[in-house]
Amino acid sequence: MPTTLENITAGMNLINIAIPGITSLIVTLQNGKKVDLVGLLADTDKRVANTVTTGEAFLAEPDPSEPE
Amino acid sequence: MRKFLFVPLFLAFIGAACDESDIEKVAQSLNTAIRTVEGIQSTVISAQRAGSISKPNANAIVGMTVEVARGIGIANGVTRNFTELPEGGKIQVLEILMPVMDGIERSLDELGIIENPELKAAVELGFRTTLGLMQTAQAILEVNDANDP
Repeated sequence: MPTTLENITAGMNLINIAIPGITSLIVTLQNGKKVDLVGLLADTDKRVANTVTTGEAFLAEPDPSEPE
Repeated sequence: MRKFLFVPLFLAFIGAACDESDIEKVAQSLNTAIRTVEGIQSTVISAQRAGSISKPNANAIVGMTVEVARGIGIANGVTRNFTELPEGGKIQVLEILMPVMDGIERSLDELGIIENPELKAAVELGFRTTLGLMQTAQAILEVNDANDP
């Protein structure tokens, strides 16, 4: 029991950003560093997708200075 | 005149832990790089909406951010497939980083289309920061290549 409590405490200390979901918490307890990498890679993917989508939408907009 | 604020995130990365594995360092570089590119894109789009840059010129720069973002995405995908970067994995990431860096350098050469000096400075700083992050990731991979038996 003390070992489990120590692990929980260590895991909670590693969570200094919001990581939603019990699945992520379990991963943290088993390997604290790994969940940070997973979150980081996922965050990058999300930002890449957003940048590409936003950029493409902007490029598709007509030039407001050109006569219709 | 409206100020174009752009915060370089490169310094934040320098302060990161020095004992992370190769893959974590590369992943951190890529994450900070895409945040920087997001900032460039947002700044240019806002400037075009405000009339500070023409649509064609804004399109040119936004097009660059889309290309760089795609390159970062591909490098991120390769990085994800390894728990530790084996020899082949490092080479793959390097091969992806090189064209992204070449693209950024070409983008820097084309910034003369921006007439507003503050906007030009902000966009140039953003691209140089992104280039620096890519070079950091490259250096990490090449040093460890040299150290491998």
